[in-house]
Amino acid sequence: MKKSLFSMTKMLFLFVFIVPVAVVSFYYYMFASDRYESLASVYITEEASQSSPFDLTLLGITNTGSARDILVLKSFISSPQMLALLDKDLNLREHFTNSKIDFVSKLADDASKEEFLEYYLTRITITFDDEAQLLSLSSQTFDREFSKKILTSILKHSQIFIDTLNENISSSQLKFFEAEVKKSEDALTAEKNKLRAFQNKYKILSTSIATQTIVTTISTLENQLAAKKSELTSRLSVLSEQAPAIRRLRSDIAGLKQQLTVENARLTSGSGGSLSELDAQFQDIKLLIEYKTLRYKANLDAFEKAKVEAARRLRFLTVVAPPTLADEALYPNRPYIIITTSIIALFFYFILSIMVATIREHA
Amino acid sequence: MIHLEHVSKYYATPSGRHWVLNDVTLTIPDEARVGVLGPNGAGKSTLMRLFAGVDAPNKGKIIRAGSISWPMGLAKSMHGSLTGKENARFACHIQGLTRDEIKTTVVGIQKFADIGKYFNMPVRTYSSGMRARLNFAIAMAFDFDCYIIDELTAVGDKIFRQKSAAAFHGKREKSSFIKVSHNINELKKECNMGLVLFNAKAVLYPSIEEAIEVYEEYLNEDKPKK
Amino acid sequence: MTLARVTNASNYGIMGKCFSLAVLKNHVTISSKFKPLTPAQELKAGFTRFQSVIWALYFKEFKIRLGKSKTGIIWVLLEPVIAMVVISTIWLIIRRKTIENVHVMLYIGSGFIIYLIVRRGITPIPQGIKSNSSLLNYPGVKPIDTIFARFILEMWLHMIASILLFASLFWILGIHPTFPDPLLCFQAIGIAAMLSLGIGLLLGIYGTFYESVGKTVRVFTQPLMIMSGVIYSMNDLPQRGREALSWNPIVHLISAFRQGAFGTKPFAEYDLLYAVYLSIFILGISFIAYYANRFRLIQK
Repeated sequence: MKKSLFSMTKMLFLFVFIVPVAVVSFYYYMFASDRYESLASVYITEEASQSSPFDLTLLGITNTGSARDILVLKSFISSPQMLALLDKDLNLREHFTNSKIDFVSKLADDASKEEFLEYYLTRITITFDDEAQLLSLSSQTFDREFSKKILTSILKHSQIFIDTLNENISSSQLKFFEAEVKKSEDALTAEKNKLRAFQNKYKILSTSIATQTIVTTISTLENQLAAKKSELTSRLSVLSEQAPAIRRLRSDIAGLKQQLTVENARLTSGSGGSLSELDAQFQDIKLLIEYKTLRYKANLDAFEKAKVEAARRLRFLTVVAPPTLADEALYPNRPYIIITTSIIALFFYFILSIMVATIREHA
Repeated sequence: MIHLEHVSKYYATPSGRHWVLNDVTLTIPDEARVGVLGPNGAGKSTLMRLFAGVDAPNKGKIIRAGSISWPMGLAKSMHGSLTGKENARFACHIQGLTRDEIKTTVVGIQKFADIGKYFNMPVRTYSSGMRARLNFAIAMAFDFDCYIIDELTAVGDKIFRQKSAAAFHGKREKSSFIKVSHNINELKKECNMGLVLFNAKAVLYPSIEEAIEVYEEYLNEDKPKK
Repeated sequence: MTLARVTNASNYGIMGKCFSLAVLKNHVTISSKFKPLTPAQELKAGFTRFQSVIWALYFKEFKIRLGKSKTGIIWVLLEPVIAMVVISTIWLIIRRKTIENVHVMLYIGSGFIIYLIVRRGITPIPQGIKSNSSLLNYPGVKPIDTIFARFILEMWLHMIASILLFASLFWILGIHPTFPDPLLCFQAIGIAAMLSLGIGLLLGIYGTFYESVGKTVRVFTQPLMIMSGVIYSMNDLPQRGREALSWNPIVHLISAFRQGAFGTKPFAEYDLLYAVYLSIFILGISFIAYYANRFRLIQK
């Protein structure tokens, strides 16, 4: 009885502890392919990041600024797109399905895209350090050079990704302002062309100057007319009506009066070409130009501001530590795995054997 | 059949170990009706618990064959919050009885215990006599190959004692028992072997008379002979 | 008066067939008319007894639980719902209707479902040994049975309470988990139950020996709810906080359950395997402690 009880515990020990640990040790020491790890870390800087005055992280408001960008980068690195890029660059699938790799850690030859992605994700680790805002990358492959290559390629594509992101941000913002500026510039030019055509048509540079001239002419003419009229009155008292001086004076007055009528007509006549009309038109054009200039100026200002803003929000991927080249194969960490397996198996054995003993005690 | 092989049992007390058994080897045969003798505090109850398998020795081992009852005694094995009926059902349950069997067994227990309305009241409201009756009734409901009795028959009124003696007599035909009692006459009448527990040594004698003789000899001396 | 006189059982007229039980060093055979059990038979008989004892204790526990106070049982069933309503109200007062796109009530409720499984391992599962001490006088009833019986009862009640929680949310608010990965939910529940059993057994053993152990543990686990990620999302915590809390296995279990129930993203330090290992470890330790102390427990 004693012997059989002993053997039962022994059997349990054999199957729950010795066999699993032996299988695991055998596999890891005899078959498991070495994996080399390459490490790198990057962070994303921006010109200026706004920080909120209150720390609202506890209420669930979190991830502002570059923390979000780095998380975006993280999900990009673990995306199928990145895998496709890497596969194109380095022929990743071929490396992982290499027949030299042991059957457990190898990628199946006929693995689907999803399986491939899953496998890829077990071979790279991306950890985000909240405090330093640092993204630590590591890759484990079966070749030391290849591990480094993968990380280098990942960093290259990340750089491209960030650049595209920047371009998108700046172009989408600036495009609008650029178009606005262009529009107002065009409008301004059109208005200026109108003015030039107007000036060419009426042969005047400016209606106000033309008016000024006419008004001066009229007042000069009126002055002259008044002077002539008073001279006529004073001469009539000594000279006869037929005197040549009087006749000359009268023809002068008549001439002046006619000229005055002409000048007045130039200033205020009803049909088309009058100066006041032209002046009104001219003032309209000028006002429009002024308005369009202001608009152009405002748009240009906004554009400049947006440009500065976009520049401020530009992200830069900074490589803190470039991909390393492994010196020795750290993985699989055989002692660690075997110790862990032993502990777990030992506890399983404890639980099972004590359970069996407890049950037997009930008999 | 109970065999004790170099069994030692002690309790840790502030003043060191208190030995109940010290390297005891003995065999209680299949059909023995053993009367256990020993002074108060010698550890008779502990010995009974060891026999029943409730407790385990600190050293050595105990081999048992056949079914052995729990120590019937001053009814420690009943839960105060449960009613007598529920305690009876519990005992039936742990014996692995089916539902129908439980029903009939519980009725039998109720009849045998004969404690009236108390059967449906929590055990903590019972007097010690009632507890003993119920406990005895429960144990009698099952067939054990060996009964462990710890000063049980001393309690209860005369009618119950007669009834239990009759019931026990029926069982005695096919079962053995190990009994603790201070009633020497009773032991003389019922037992065919005697076990003396004295100074952490237990010795089995092939007749109860011899055991009583030795026990009384021990009691008359200040020091044990051995 | 010597031992040799009585050691040989065959001297005492055993009739019929005899079975040899053991042969002692001095070539004396111990024999009996009762056939000794083979290890397989012993295991089978033991298992049958084990089962019946646990069911007997289970019914007894259920009866006492029901009999003691009806409010007690109602409280057990409604505890998750009430806890959920109270905590969710706080969130709703500060105008947070969803956490990780899950309705606050569901989110908090799911946390309590896991948390309370483990909490049962602190109270009332460990008290099972003490409250059944008189029944330990039956040879078939072992201290561990009382823990198992209580454990089964508590888990059963908790299962009903959890269903009640989800059902009431569905009836009243019309919201329900989407369960994209129900297996993960069951895994989380299973591991939580294992942890609860381990803690329950361990505390049951040492709580029976030392009165103060139970009390101390209960005091120190008062803030456990806050430290288990029940009432908030781990993703909302800063890294340092997450790292500190990820020592607590409940945090991982709750995260796993929510992932299975709502498809939410687990936090960065999430590692369900840690919770699995720790549960096995604690259960193993508690079994060893039980095995070493099982008879001392009966004497108590």
